[in-house]
Amino acid sequence: MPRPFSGLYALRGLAITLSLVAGLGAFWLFMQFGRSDGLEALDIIRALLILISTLWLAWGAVQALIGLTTLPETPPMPPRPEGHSRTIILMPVYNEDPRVSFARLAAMDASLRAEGADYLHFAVLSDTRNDAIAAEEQHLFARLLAETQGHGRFFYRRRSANTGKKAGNIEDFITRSGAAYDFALILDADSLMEGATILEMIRRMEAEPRLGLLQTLPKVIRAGSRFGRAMQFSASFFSPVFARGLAMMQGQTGPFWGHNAMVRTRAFAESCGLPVLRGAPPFGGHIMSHDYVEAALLARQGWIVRLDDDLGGSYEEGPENIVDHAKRDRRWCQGNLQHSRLLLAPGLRPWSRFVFVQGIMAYIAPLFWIGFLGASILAPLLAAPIDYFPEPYWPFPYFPPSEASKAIGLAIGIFGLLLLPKILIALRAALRDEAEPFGGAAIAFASTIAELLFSSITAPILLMYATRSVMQVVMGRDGGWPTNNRGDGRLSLSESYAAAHWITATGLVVTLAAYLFAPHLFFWLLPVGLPMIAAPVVLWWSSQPSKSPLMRVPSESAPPPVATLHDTILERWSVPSEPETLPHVQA
Amino acid sequence: MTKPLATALPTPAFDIAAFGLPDAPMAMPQQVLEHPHGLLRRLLALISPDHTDAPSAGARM
Repeated sequence: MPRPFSGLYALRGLAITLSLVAGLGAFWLFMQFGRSDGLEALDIIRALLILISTLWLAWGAVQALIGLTTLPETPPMPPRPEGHSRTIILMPVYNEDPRVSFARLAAMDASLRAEGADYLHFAVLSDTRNDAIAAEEQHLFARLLAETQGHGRFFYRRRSANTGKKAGNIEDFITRSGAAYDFALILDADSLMEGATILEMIRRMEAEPRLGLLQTLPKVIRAGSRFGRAMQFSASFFSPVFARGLAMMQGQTGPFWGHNAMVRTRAFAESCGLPVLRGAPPFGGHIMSHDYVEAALLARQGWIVRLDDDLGGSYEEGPENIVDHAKRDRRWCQGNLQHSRLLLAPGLRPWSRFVFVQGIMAYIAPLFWIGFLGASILAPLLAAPIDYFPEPYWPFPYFPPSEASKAIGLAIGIFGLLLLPKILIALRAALRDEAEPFGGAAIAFASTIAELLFSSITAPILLMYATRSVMQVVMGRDGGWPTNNRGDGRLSLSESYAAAHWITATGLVVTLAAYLFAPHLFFWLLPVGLPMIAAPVVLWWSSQPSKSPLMRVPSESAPPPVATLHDTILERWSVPSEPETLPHVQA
Repeated sequence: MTKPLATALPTPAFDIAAFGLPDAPMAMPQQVLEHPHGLLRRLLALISPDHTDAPSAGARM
């Protein structure tokens, strides 16, 4: 629910001020440390790099701290709306496994019918380029129609050209059929939502006629690998608090994450026709990360965009290994950096511009850390020798005071920003008896520590992938639109080596350089250098199935009803059926 | 059902075909996200006496 404007601006101001204080504090501490042996240009550069990096870390931490102060709340909705508006559920697909994704639609339909709602429509919007997969889509769609008795409610169409990618796919639907529906629920091929949640979203859209887009907080489910389960635990245990902080600061300018969100069709149509940006990709051409832009455009037209984090029953699946995560991140990186072209777009709300900046920072922040580490290794080489006899004719040497305590204080502060929010979230869960679905307070706390250790090991590797993505985009390389790999995701050692040998080489060079040029930093840099050197092993190990009692999430002990429905349907569909003819498929 | 805010877009009649998507087109006007002129030209326009976009060198000739 949007907060009153004065409170909203005060909250945003507080969050920005606290982040600035943390960033400037880090800057001041580093300047003190650098001044101890004579301030040089490289010290100032390093201090500026640490300022930006800390500012970014602090922004994330402050968001969580704000989120910890309240609990998700249901917006007021008098009188109770009916939930009978004309609504369609859209599933854009692109070379996905149709058996798995169509079974999701069947599961959601069954979940809706269990709630007494058999009047919602479903559309598969195929952008599949692979003809064999497209043929399977059409075959399975016939089965979907037969099983759901969905004639007149389920639709399928495949575009002959996937102009504009997912945004173009949705736009094609709106321009062809948008006027038939009040609301459209936009999904991804791996989305699952409970029928009750979908109906509640319709009621909320009906209750607030200015609401243009309602975003849910999807939880990751069905992770099986070590990496996948760590991400799943993080999304289930930590993300709701971060999302709460975001929801408290969103006002009427909330986020759109591209899926598991409902749009008011007419609002979307009048606001979100995306232009093609001047110039060639990666910065020009079609807008890749269209969701952020669509949220900003809806807000520009005066529509409310809202994240309702109290809504449960919204699920997605995540990558099972670091390589798939990095591939997806490559796409998001290009999309977010492209937003730099839109920072000055006419008429946008200031918060929308700030959201663009945040998205860009998420990908360029690693560059500041790498710049800081590189400059720190080089600093001793470029530093002037210490003058132990600054006073002429004075016989005793002068030893500059050690400011190591400042450096240690700075390191503790930065680790605090990384660790504190997650530790506090675990403590709150224990105090409020919310840890039971995560295995109890002790298991949840141990899982938090395990997740922190796991993310410490994987962070330098992800940092390297993010850096490579940014460099590729800046050098003008278009990443295209790779299909998401969903499923088992287990990597072999040779696959892991092929994907990460360059990280090993970089890690060796960095560690050796630290040993030779900055031996006092050698042990400090090992937590970064060692995971980089061992990157192929980390990739392989983290992609293997996890049997650990840690990282437990509620969906593992009590699977969501719609996921159970999906499993049942998938099992039934794994038995080949007679090929069914599709009466009519629009090309 | 609560009516959404009025928009400039028409709501055409539709009818649902058996298997194809409903034939109910809705206009989706393209939004303006980039200024027609670059930042420098717009800054020059701000300080020009009549606040119009500064003409390019080509246009002046």
